[in-house]
Amino acid sequence: MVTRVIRFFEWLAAFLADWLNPVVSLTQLGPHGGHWLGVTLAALVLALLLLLGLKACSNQEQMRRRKGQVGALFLEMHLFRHDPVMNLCTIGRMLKTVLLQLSLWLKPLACLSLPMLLLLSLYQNYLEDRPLRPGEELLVKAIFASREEADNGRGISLTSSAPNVLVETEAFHSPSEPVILWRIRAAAAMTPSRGLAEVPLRLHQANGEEAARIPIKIAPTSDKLESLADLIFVPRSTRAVHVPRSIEIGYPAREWYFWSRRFHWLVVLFVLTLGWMFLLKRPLRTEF
Amino acid sequence: MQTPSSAELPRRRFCLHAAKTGVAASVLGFPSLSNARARPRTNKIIVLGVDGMDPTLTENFMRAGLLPNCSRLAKQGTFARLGTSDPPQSPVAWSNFIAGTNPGGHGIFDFIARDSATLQPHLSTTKTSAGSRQLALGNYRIPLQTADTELLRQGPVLWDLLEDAGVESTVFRAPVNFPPSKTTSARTLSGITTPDVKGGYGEFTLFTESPFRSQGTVPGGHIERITLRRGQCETYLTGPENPFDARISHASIPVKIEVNRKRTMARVQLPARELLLKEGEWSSWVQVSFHLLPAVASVSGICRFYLKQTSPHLELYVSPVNIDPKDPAMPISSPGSYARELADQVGYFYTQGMPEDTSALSAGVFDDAEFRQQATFVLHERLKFFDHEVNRYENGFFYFYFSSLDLNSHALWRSLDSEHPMHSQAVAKDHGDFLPWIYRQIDQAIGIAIDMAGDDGTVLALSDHGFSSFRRQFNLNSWLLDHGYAAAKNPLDREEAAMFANTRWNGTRAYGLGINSLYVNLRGREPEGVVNPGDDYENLRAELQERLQSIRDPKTGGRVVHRVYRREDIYSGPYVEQAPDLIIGYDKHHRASWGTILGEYPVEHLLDNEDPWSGDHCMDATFLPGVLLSNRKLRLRDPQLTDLPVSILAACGIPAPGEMIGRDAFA
Repeated sequence: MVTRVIRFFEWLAAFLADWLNPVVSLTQLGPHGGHWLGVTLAALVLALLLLLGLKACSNQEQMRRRKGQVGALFLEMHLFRHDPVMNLCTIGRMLKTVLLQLSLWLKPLACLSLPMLLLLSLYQNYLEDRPLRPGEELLVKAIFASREEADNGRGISLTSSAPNVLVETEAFHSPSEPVILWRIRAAAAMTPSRGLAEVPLRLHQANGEEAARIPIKIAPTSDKLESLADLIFVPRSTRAVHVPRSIEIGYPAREWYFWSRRFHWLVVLFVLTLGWMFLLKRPLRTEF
Repeated sequence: MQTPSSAELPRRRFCLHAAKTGVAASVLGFPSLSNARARPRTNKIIVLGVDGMDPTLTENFMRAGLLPNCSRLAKQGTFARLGTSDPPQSPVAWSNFIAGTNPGGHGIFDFIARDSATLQPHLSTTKTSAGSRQLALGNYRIPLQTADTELLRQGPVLWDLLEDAGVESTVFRAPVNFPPSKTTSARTLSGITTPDVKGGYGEFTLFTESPFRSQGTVPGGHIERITLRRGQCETYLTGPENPFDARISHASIPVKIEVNRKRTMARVQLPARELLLKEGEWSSWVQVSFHLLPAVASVSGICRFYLKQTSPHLELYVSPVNIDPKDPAMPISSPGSYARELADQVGYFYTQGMPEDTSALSAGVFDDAEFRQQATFVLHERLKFFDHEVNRYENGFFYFYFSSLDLNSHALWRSLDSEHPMHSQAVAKDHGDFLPWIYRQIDQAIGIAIDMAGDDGTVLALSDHGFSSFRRQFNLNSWLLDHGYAAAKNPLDREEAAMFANTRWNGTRAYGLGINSLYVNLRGREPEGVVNPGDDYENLRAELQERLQSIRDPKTGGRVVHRVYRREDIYSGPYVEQAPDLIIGYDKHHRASWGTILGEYPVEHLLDNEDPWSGDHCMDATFLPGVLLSNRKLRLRDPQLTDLPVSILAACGIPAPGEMIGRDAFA
């Protein structure tokens, strides 16, 4: 069940990404290291969605009042800091107020969860993987429904239609899973004029019938295009026409570093979103 | 080269600069003095540190026309033999270059030193102290103190002196510079002596099905026996020690291997990466993460996989897990971002100090061709980084280190020496061209450096020592034992015990530790010292000097030890007291055996060296001068390594500090 739900969201995100790719790719434009600009803009969109959603779905007046109450209780604690009994009572009241304040989030969270989930699924496509760079390799994995089906696909072959993308290995049939793998390599850079183009790989069945076309994204060496092409959406999964059931492309992970520390893209997005929310709460007159 | 912005300078150092230049100039009214210090005489100095470049081979190759750029330098400026350190070991020699002192001034005397309180051997260049305080929570241990790694090299630092005087410095793979100084404002990347993530000089792993290999640890590596069932197996790649979990000693990551023998391919599945390798193929760098404490602490590393064979038995080699330059578990560069910047711009690279895997060759995991393939990759990687760094060089001090000649000469000297026990026609035929090829590659790098320096810049290409054949090995501790200078707890079991486990200290007067070091078991210094300071100590040293120098090799009839030096005769400076009591200068083609270095007592005193590690330089320094090539004319007739930092400082108009003992070598 869980797998089905995940697959549904993956499909939905890929579907949305296909439509929104030109728009979202624009948010990734920028100088060297433009993916930081991209994630900052992505965080801005998410922050706007959250702030506007909060404003529309929550009781803003009550939120403000509860925040004021928490502030007053802090002051009370400070003033009566030498009175332990008073302090304990204040802490109790503060806990109650905080819980009440959190309960005010339930409705907006319920309203916003679906659009947030969709937006995060969409961002995942842009922020988790990156296109192949010249010299790099990746694995293409054909996934079959069963071992029998994979065994039947013994004559299956993968070919490249472009000289700068090489299929380096023969098909590798996994002895433990219903999958067949190939390794491909971006042997040379894409020419700048083709910086945003895809290189289609063709998967043929034993009888020569084309089973799938697999678009592989390769970054160009041109500095001007790299920041754009490096950040375009890389579809990790492609549905085949016949067997195999699907094809997965193992693109390299996009790396997010800050002060030599590696972070998950969700952490980066979360921190930036919070930053934007604090910056925009006054202009948008939203309390949270 | 980019000018480092003030933001890149450590805050304290920046304030210091500001104070020196601003306050001195404005308040004290000495603007000319302040400016003179900041304005160097020349600001283009490129130094190529070519570890192990031998002057005789260089001369021969130059004569044969193989090294046009070296010949160009020799014609235009200088080609000379460069006096090396005593002993001529790389950490010692490069420390001489960095500090401008002999070992008495920087405290590095051998690859291996000992803790005089416990007599336990340790690497001479770094000391790691684990935090002793920890909080136990069930099976988990939370350290309350962080482990600290300290660089033991003392004395002045050439690039710090240059930076202080306003000369920007970039030092790529600085030898004996791990961990890099936290206060330096130079850009440095640590070189030789940088460990892998396990903390050693590099430990490979071999996954093998072969019944002819035994599971366990071999010098510089680990062999892991695996059994394939239905063409697959699941195993683990061992990582660093895990101080957080009481149940396991080392962190590890799961590795699943699937094999297709018919197609001679294997699939390697790691937690975050999957590889498909054909037989005889190397993977690119793979980033791996060892979790020490779930969601709290992990160590990131990088390694390469090599599918040696799929049949009749699967053998998969994994390189030592190097420190990840993008997420270093230990500091390897200054500033910390420099290593990541390099990895981002050029790609992952070997961060371990000695990347050519000679251990795999010695253990029989690599054959000569495989070793050569791996060593070629290392050299190409270095040249790629040289190209990158030299292309952004504009001015200042630029040092670039090449390890290839040293480690490949160690491993393949037998291809050139027909008298070496490991020489064969096949080795000479198949690999006799490899060392000359590396010399040619280095020569091309020298050519690029000459072009970058232009007419007004200074180019130096230097090696820390030369090379000689290592044909015979000498078991110093066995000789001491059999001549009554040492005593064993169990004289019948001499082969097994290492690290002086078989030594009866109260009957031992002298012991050899490290490659060229001999210590007296001195009362008051060693925990169970038996030799009294004063006359007893001096008499013992004199006796050992005489007897060691008189040893003859029964096979060759020649001497084994050329000369034995007393420390005060060759060292000066504040650290002389930490030096070994005697320094052994082995005769040509002889060296300390591997066993004796760490306190073993094999039965034989002298034996053939039947290890592929066939070239060496840990002999008497007089046999092994390095190379000095420069576009500037030499003034001295006998230049020494210690002269070069003084000369570089002089070229920039900076006075050398009093601790430096060298002279300005150039006219």
